[in-house]
Formats: sequence, structure tokens, C-alpha cells
Amino acid sequence: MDTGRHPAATLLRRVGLGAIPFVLLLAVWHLASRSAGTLLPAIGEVGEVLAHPFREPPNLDSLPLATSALVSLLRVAFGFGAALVTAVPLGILVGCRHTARELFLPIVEMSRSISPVAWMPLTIILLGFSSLGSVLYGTRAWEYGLLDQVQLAIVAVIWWASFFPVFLNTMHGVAGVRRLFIEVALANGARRAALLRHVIVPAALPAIMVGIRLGVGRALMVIVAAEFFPGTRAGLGYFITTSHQVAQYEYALASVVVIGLVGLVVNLGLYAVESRVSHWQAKER
Amino acid sequence: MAQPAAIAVQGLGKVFRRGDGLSVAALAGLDLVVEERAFVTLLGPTGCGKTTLLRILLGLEAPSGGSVRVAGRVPVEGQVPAGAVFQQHSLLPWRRALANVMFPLEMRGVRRRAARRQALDLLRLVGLEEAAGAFPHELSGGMQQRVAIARALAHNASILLLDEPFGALDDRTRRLLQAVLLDIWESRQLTVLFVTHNIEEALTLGDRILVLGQGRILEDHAVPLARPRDPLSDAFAAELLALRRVFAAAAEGAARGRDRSIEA
Repeated sequence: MDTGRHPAATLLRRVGLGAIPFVLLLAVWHLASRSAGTLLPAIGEVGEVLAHPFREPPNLDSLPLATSALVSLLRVAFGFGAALVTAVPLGILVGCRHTARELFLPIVEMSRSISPVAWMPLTIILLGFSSLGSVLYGTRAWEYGLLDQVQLAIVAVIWWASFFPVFLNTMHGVAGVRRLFIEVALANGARRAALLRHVIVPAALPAIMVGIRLGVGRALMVIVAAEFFPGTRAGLGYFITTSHQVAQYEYALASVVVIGLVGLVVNLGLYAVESRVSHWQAKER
Repeated sequence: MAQPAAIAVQGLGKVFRRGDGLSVAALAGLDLVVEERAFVTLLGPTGCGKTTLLRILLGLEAPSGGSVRVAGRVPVEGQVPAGAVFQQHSLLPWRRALANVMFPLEMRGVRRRAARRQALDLLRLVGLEEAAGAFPHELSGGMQQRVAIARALAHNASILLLDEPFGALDDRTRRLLQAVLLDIWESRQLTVLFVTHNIEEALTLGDRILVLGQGRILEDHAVPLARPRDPLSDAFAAELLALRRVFAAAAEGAARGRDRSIEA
């Protein structure tokens, strides 16, 4: 790391370096789209779609790009949120007890290799097309447009996708808390209940944050595939499917770009949070 | 005895069950009395049960037998009869120095502002006020142990237990911290039980030196030197030599005892 530089100069350098592959990618894309007989849309066509995110796509049976992205993000938020509130407490519980780890290890190792999308047909059978809106508002769900698009079947699949990274990292983080820290806290007057809040969670927080970053990443990967399934009427995955059906590939590529940008922003944000909560760990031995 | 002892241990035994199923006695019939306001050093080689004794005094470990009283009470986990300073790297690394010192106060339910003020006072006492905002990994080993001493004092207990707190420090820093500790002991009228494997350190600090081996006290040696002690004086050198002999004899006796018990 070049610590001697002015911080602004360092930032500029990092952004500049990071931009080079993007420029190369665009160049390759441009050349490929100009070759004869290609179906690859030109950069300009995709840019045109991206420039009007709120426009109803003319030949597509789909909501505008921005709304589609919002629907997808809502599904991710609820699915990941559900994973967070289940995986962190469970991970802490299992991490604290050796017996619990042995009890759950086999089933977790089996479950986590099952692709989340593999559950899609089953979740549709089990949960039907019920959505957060229909659960909360019944037949008036259509009045709450966006919540009606948050289908429980998809939320469940996203939950599955992000549960295991968060659960496993929390569990390992908690199991790895140094015994000394716990004894120091006990010798300093901490009761068992205070240990959780003042020692176990802060000590495991860096590991939990890694799990969160991986979990969000998996949720973003899985959402598009989950939206290919019937029962969805919106979302980036649905947007892609419909644009394929009418061979308007600029719409498909535009949503790919949106997913990529969302991932970029989310990951950079999570890295920033991660370095804040785990700054003490890099130097700790 | 006019005053009740600060620490009273009688017939203390501790048996650990090893992974292979064999039992190992870390402590066997240990008797120990530390009077109020005494500075007692506990001297013994690594693995002689020093740390186990301290953990029992802190309530972190339950004894297998015998009785233990610290400040007149049976030590219980999470209830603090005494402040403790551990070996190195015992600060909570995600808390700044000040927050580490505040930890015992928070656990006792002291209000934030009052806890802050007390913690700052304690950091000033150990000469580290300006490092209040630093994280442990930003401090040197000596500074970390100063913070650890401040944290131990935050209990407001009159008894301080220290487990080889300066073992990992260089010579100069160690002497400095020994002086800081002696100052605090005197000014705050504390009772100190200080564990070390360093004979010179034991002699520099203690009124009494207890030589530990085989899970019990082998030798109770009263130090005849006046304070402040000058490690370069002839009296100190002579006493150090005498103590080395005591230590060697005790160790030899212990070894003979062990041989006998193996033969028997």
C-alpha cells in the first residue's frame, strides 16, 4: 500500500487502475458487436435502455428496468434478511456448543451443496404464488404492487442461498473465540449473559461480516435464476427471459449490467463495513 | 491473628483429567495465607500449578478439594473478589485502551460518564492517559500491561492477582513496570499476589517469597531487605544467591519426593 501519497491521489490511482479492465471489456464488446451476423447488441443500444430506466419496454411484457431491479432487490432483501435473523442466532448457538456442532455438521454439509434453484419447483408447489403482499393484505394485495411481487417461493430460495455462508461463518467465528478473552471477561465481572454481548459477538463479528458478504453475493447470483421460473411477473430475471423471447437482447444485457453494478456497489460497501469491524484482527495474532 | 487474611487457602487440591483418561494432580494439599497489605510473590517453574492456583482464586476453576477464601468469600465465576492481570495479550482487542479499563466498571453497572472518568484516572495513574484512544495492537507490550493493570484496579478490590504479567517484556520495561506496580501497591494499600518464574523479580517485589512445586508450597521465605531495593547492592546480591540455593534445594527435594512416590 502506498501510504506516502496524498489520500486523494491514492484513491484516483485505485479507481484509475480498476477502470482499465472495464475499458478493455467495452472495446472487445464493441468489436464483437460490429462483426457480421452477430446477435450481440451494440453498446449504444444497451446504453439507450440503461439511459431510460423508467420507460416501459415497448415489446416486452415487463415492468420498466428500474422497477424490475427494485423488485429483484426487494426479494433479495427479504430473503437475505430472513437468512440473517435465522443464521446468526443459530450460528452463535451451535458455535458455542461442541456437541451441537457435531450434531448439525453432517446435515449442514449435505444441505449447503444443494443449489438453491433446485428447490424452486418444490417451493412453488408448497407456497404457490403467495407473496408478502397476499400474506399481509389478502385479496387487496394488488394495491400494494411491489410487495405483491415478493413471492414467498422466491424469498425461500434466496433464504436458502444466503443462510449457509452466514451460518457457517458465524459458527466458526464463535467457536474460534479465544478462551482467554472469555476468561478475562469473567475475571472482570462479566456474567454468562454479558459474555455474549461483550465478548462472543464482538470477537466473532469479523467472521460474521465475511459470512454476510458471501451470503449477499450468493443471493444476488441466485435471484436472477430464481426469476426464470414461472410465477414471476417482474424482476431482472423475468426481464431477461421476456427479452430473450422477443430477441431484444439489448434488454437482457442491460439487466446484466444492472446486476453487475448492484453487485459492485454492495460488495464495496460491505468491504468497507468489514474493514471497520475487523481492523483489530489483521494485527492481532 | 488480629486481621483476617486477604487470601486463605487450606488443603487445596486440583486434579485434571487428561485426554488419555489419566488424572494429573496440578495442586496437592496447598496451604497459603496472604495477610492484608502484603506483597507476596509466588515463585515456581513452568507447569508447577501457579496459574491453576490463580485461576481458582479468581473463580475460573473449581477446586477438587480444600477450602479457598479471597477477601473472606469463596470465589465465584463472574463475581470479582480481586483484580487480575494476566500474561500478555489479555486486552480485548476490539476495545480501545480506555474502553478496556471501563470494562469491569460497565459490568458492575457504573454509569458511562462516571466509568469514563474513573478509567481515565486509572490510565493517568499508570502513566498512559494519552493512549486512552489507542487500540491494543497500537500499543507496545509494556503499554498493554499498563492498561491491564489499570483495568485490574478498576475493580476497586483491595487484592490484586498477577500472573507473570511482565514475563514477555524487555528488562528495562520490566523494571519500569515493577516500579509502577510497587508505587500503586503502596499508595493504594493493596494486597498483592504476584506469580513469576523469575527469581530476581520475586526478590525485587516480594515481602515473602513462596516457592511452589509439586502442587504445594515447598518453601516460605521472608525477604529481609528494606525498600526501595537496589538490585545492584551487595545485600540484594547476597539475598539473591541465598534464594537461588533455597530454590535449588526445594526443587531437588521435590524431585527426590517424586522419585520416592514413583518407586512406592
